[in-house]
Amino acid sequence: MNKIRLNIDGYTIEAEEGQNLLQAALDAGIYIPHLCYHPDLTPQGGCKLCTVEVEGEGTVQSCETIVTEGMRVKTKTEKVKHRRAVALELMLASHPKDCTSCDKYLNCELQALMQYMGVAHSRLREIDKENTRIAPSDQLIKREMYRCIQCGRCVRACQELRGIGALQYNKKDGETYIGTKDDVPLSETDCRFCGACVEVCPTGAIQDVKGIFSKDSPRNLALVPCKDKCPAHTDIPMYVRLAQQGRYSDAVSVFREKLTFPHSLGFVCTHTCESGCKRNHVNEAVSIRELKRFSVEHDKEESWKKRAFHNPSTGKKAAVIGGGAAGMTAAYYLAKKGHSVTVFERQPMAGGMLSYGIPKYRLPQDIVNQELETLVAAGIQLVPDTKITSADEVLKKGFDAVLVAVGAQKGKRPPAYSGTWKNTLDAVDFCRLANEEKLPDLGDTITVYGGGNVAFDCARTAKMKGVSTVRVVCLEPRDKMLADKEEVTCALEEGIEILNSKSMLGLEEAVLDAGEEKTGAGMGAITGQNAGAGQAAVTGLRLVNVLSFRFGEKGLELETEAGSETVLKTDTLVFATGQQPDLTEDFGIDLHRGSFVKINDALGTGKEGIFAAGDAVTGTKSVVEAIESGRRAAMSIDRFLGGDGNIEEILYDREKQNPKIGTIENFAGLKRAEQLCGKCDATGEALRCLQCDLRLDIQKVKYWVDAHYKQVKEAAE
Amino acid sequence: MSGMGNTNEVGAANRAGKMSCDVTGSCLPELPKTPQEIERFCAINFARKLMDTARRESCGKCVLCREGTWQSFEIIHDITEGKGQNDDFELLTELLEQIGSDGGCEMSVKAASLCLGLLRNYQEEWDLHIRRKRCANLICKASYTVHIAPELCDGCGKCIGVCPDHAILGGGNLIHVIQGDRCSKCMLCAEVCPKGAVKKAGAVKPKVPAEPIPVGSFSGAGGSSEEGPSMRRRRRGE
Repeated sequence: MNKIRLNIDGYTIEAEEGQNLLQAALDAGIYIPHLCYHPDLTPQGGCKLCTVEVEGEGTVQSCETIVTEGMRVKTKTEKVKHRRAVALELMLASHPKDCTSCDKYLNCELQALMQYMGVAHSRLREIDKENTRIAPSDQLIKREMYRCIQCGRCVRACQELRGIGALQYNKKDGETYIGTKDDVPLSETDCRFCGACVEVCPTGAIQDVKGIFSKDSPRNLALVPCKDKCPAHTDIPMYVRLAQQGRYSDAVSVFREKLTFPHSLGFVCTHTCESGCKRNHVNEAVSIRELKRFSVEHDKEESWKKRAFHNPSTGKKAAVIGGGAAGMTAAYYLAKKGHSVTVFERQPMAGGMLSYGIPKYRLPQDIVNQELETLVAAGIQLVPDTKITSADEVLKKGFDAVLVAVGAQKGKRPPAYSGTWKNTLDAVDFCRLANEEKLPDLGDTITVYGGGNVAFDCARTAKMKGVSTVRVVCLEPRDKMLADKEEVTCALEEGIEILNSKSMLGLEEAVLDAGEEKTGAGMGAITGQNAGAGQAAVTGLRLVNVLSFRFGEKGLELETEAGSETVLKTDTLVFATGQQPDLTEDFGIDLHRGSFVKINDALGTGKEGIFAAGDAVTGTKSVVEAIESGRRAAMSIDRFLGGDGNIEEILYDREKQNPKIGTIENFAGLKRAEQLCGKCDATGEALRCLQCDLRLDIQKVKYWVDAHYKQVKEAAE
Repeated sequence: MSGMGNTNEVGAANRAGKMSCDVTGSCLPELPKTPQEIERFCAINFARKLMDTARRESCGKCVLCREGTWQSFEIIHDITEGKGQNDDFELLTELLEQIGSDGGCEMSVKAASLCLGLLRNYQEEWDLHIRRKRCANLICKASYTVHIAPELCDGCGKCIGVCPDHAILGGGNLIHVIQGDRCSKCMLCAEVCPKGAVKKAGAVKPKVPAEPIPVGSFSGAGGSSEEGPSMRRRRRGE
C-alpha cells in the first residue's frame, strides 16, 4: 500500500493511498467527531459530524473524502465546529432527553459526542415522531427505536457486512425510520441474530436483551455464551462452523486444543454450552454435543496429531494418583511438556468415572479405551491396580511433583443411614459393579434415593438388568430436579417411577435367616462392608411429603406435610446422595468438608510439590470440569517444575472469517436435531448456529477520550 | 409580488452530493404563476408547505435533509400558527443556509434555497407573522376568524350541512352565526354559500349577532363586540 502525506491541523501525517480522510486522521490520533461512520462499513456522509475544511475545497465530509498527497485540512475551525453543532442539535431534537433511563447510559456514542461538542438539547423545536415507536423487540434483540438517530449503521451492517438486509429505511406517513420490511418481528425476516446491528448501534436504539450474556466474563467470552459457559472455553462456534463445512478433522483439531476426551464428551458431556446457546432464545439450542461426537467419528485424517506440541525431556518426574479424566488430562499435558509422568490407578483400568461410573449404555468402554490409548501415547506410564495410601510415600520414591486426582469414589449418605445393611448400596459402588458386570441379585423392586444424574444412571441400569419395579425418590419437585431433563424423560419412558418431594423418615428393616435371604447375596462382601449371615436387611422406606427444603447452616432444613407418612417396600435400596473422596488424614494432605482436598489458587495442597485436581477437590462434577481442572493442574505443576506453565496449542489455524453469512430460508424456524444420522443432518444442525463469534470481528469505535487520541502520530521527516 | 422570480435556484441541481439518494427536487411544490394564485399567496404559508413536502419526501439518510427540513417545517408551522419566536427568522436562515450548502441531495438543497429566497424576498411578511402574528392576505389560519355577514345571509342553511365542526348555529329564516371556538377554518361553508356571505376577518372584527336572529332584523347593534386577541396585540405592538 502506497503511503501519502497530508497535513491536518498543522501535523504532517501519513495515510494509505485510497483511504478516507476521517480514517486517516483517526489512525494518526487526530479525533474528528463522527457518528454514521464505522470503520467496517461504507461511509454514508449522513451525520455531518465529520465535517472538516479542506484547503481549496471548503467544507466536506471527511468520511467521504479520499486523501490526496499534500492535502491541507483543518478540523477545528469555528466554521466546522458550528456546522457540527447544528447537525447534532438537529439529531437531538427528536431524541429523548432523559439519558439516565436508557440502558446505554454512559456507554453511548451519542452521549459522548454531546460531551465532546458541548451540545445539549437546545434552542430547536422538539420533534415527536410517531413511527419510530414501531419496533417489536425480539427474544434476542431489544429495539427502542425512539432512541434511533437514523445513522444507518445497522442497515449497512446487516446489508453489506452480513449480506442479509433484514433492516432497512422505512417510510410511513412522511416519516423515515429504521425497521424491517412491513414492520414484522425480526424472527419473521431473514435475520440470523448475529448481533451485528447491536454491535454497531451508537445509541440505545438496538440492544441485546438483558440477561443473555454473563456480566462477569470478559467481553470476548461473554458475547459467545457457549464458549463462555463451557468450563474449558472450547472454541465452539469455530468447530460448529467447520462441521457445517464438512471439515470434521479441522473441527476435531479445534476442540482438541482444550479437550482430552472429546469422543467420550460427545456422549456424556453435561453440555453447559447448550444451556448458554443464544439460539435457546430463538427456539432451541444447537446440538453442540452431537456435532462434537459426529466430528470425532468422521475425522479420518486426525490432523491435530501432526500439530500437537511435544517438548524435549526436562528430566523431571511427576506422579499422578488416579487415572480419571482429571488425572489423565494433567498427565497428558505434563508429558507433552517434557516431564516423565507416571499415573497410579487403583483399578485395573484407567478412566475413572468414564470407565467405572458412567453406565456402558451411555458410553461404550471401547471409546474410553481408545481415548486413553491416545493420551498414554503422549508418553504416560500407566500403573494400574495400584492403590496409593500416602502422598508423601510417592514423593519419597523420587518424584518431583505429585498430583492427587483420586476422584470422589466413596458414597456419601445422610448421617442417619451410615449403618450397613445387606441389601443397600451406594450409587458409586452400584455403577462400578454394573460396569464390572458384578452386580448381585437386586430382587424385584429397587429404590434409588436421590435425584441427580447418578441416581438415574443407577435406576436405568437396574431397569435394563430386568428389575421390574424401579423407583427414584428425591427431595426436589419434578421441575427442580438436579438430573438433566433428557435423563428424566428417558427414565419415565423406560417405565421408571419418580417420586418427587419426598424425604426419608427412616428405614424398616428385618433380620432374615440365611435361607430366607432373597437379595443381597454377597453384596456386602463386594462393597467391602462387613456382611454376615443374620445381618439386617432393609425391607422398606418410611417417606414423608416435603413442602419445602433448603440447605441452611445446620445442613438440610425441611418442611414436611403432617400425616403424609407412607411406607415404600423395596428389595434393594441405593443411596445416590453424593460422593466424596476415599481419603483420610493418613494420606498426608489437608482435608476439609469431610474428605475433600483443600487447595490454594494454584491447586497446591499446602504441601510442597503436592497438588490436587478434579472431583477430589470439587466433589462430583462433570467430565469436562475434570478435564479443565486437570489442565490447570498441569499448568501449575509445570511451573513448579521450572516450566512456563503454558499448555496452550493452536491445532487449527484460524482463517479470517467471511462476515457475509447471507440468508437461509426460514432460519429462525429451523428445528433442533437431537440425533445426527448422517452428514446431511450434521450440516443442517451446524447451520442453525447464530455464529455469535463473528460479532467480535467488528471493530470497536473509539471514544474521543480514548488514549489513542492523546497524542498525534506524526510522520517522520 | 415582484421578487418572486429571484428565489435562488442556481446550482441546486448540480449541488447533489455523493449520497445515494433517488429523491429529486421535482416533488416540491411550485411557486404561484397566475395572478389569481399570486393574489392568494402567502410566502410563509408556502414555505410551510414546501418544507412539509421536503421532510416527507426525505429518504432519511442525511441529518440535514431528514431533521433539518423537519425542524424548518416545525418553526415555520409555529409562525403560521402565530407562535413564532423573536429569533426564528435568524434560526431559519441559519438552518437553511447549512442545508443549502451541506445538504446531501438535490431535493433538500433545492427546498432550502427556495425557502431562503422566500425569507429574503418577503422579510416584511415574515416580520408581520412572527412579531404581530398577522398574515396580510389572511391565508395563515391563526391570522383570521370566519364569520357570516349578517346583511348577506338569507338563512338557507347550506353551510350548516357541510360544517364538519358543527360550528354554525341557525335555522329557517334566521341569520346564521359561526361559533368561533368550534370553527376550524376549513372554509367549506364559504364554498357552498350561494350569497358569498362567509367572510374572513383579520385584526378588525365586524359586528355580528351573538346568536341567530330573523333574517333582515340585524341592526348592527347589540351583537358581538368580541375583539380577537390579534386586535389587542396589534395595539400593544404599535
